[in-house]
Amino acid sequence: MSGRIEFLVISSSREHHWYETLRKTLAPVGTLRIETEEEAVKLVMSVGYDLVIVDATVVDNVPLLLARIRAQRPSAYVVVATANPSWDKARQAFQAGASDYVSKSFDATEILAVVSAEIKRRGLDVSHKPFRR
Amino acid sequence: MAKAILLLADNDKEYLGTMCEFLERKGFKVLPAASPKEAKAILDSGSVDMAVLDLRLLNDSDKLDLSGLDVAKQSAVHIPKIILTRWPKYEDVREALGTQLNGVPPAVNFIAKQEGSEALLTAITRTLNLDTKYREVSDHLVAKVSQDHVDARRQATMSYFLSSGVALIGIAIIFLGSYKTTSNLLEVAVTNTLAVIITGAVVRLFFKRADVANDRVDQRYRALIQSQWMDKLMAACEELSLEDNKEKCKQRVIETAANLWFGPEREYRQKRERKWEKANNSDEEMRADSR
Repeated sequence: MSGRIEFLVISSSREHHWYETLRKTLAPVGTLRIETEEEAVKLVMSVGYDLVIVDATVVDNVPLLLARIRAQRPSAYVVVATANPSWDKARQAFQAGASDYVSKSFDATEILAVVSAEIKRRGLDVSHKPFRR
Repeated sequence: MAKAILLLADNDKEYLGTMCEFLERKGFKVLPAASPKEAKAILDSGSVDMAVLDLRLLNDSDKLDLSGLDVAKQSAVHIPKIILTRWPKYEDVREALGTQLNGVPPAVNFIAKQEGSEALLTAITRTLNLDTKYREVSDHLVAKVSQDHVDARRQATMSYFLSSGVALIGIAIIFLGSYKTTSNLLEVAVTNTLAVIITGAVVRLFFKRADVANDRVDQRYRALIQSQWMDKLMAACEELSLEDNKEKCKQRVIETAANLWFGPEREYRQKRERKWEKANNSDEEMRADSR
C-alpha cells in the first residue's frame, strides 16, 4: 500500500471490535497493522513506524513498552488508548514518553482527530507519502 | 549553593500561604502569585527557576477555568512548570503534558493537591535536578561542539587558502617553465604536465582535509542530538513504577545507544581483527608448507 500511512496498533485479537472500529475510522488516512507487544517492538525497530497506537487495556506494563518504543524510535508518535482513562495513568504515560493519551470511544473519532493533527503538524501529504520509512 | 527560586501561583490564599511557608522551610525562595496576571508578570520577568501553577487560578468552582494552564502555555516556554489542582482529570493532564503545536508541552508534571505537599516537593526537586543536569550536560556539549566547530572551520579555511596558494604556485611554474624552455617543445610539455599533476594532487589533498574538517563538525552535531535523546529516555526510565523495570529500561536504552554510536566502529574493528587472523593463518600455512 505505497502512498498510504500505515499505523501500527499494539493490541490483541480479543479487542477485535475496537480494532474494526479503528480500522474503519482511520480508513481515510491510512491502513492498520495489528501486532502483539513483542512483535511490535521488533517492527518499530526494523520497519521504523512513526505512528503507533497502544491499547493500554491489553498491555501489561505501558510505561515499559513506551520506553522500549522510544529507545527504538525516539521520533515516533505514540498514542495510548484506554477504556478506563484516569488522570494518574495519563500522567504516568506522558512521563514514560507517550505523545497523547485518549479514551477508547465507540467511534474512535478522538484518535482520528489526534492522528490528523499530527499528520498536519508533520506536514505530510496523505495521498502521496507513506508515514513509515 | 544559591537557593532555587520558585513561582507559586494559587488563588486560594490560605493554601498559598501554607505552601509558601512549607517550601521556604525546605530551602526554596518562593515568589507567590494569587492571579494569572501576577503569575504571568513574574514568569515574563524571567526571575524564577521554575513555576508551580494552580489549574483554576480565577475561580475554583468553575469547571471550565483553565487559567493556570493558559499562563503555562503563554509565558516563558523555557521555564519548567508544574500544574497543581484539587480536581484532576485526564483531559487536563493531556492538555498540560501533551505537546503543543510548537512541539513543547506546557508543563513538565501534573500534581493533585490530594497527593500532599511531599509529592509536590518531590516533583519540584526532580524537575530542578533534571533541569540542572540537563542544562549542565547541554552546556558542556554545546561548549565542546562550539570549540570543535571553530577548530574545524579554522582548519577548513587554512586548507582552502593553502590549496589556492599551491594552485597559484602551480600556475607560476607552468608559465616559468614555458618561458624558460621555449626553445625545446618536448621539455615544455613535460614540465607543464608534471606541474599540473603535482598541483592537482596537492590541491586535492588540501580540499580533502577541508572535507574531513566539515565531517567532524557534522559528527559533533549528531552526537549532541543523540545525547539529548538519551537524556530524555533515561528520564523516562526514571518514571517507571517498579525498580526492576527502571533498570531493565535503562539497560536497553544504553545498549541501543551503544549499538547505534559504536556499532560501525566495532564492526570495523572486528573486520580488521578478522583480516589479521586471516593473514596470520596464511603466514603459518606458508611456513608449514616451506618446512
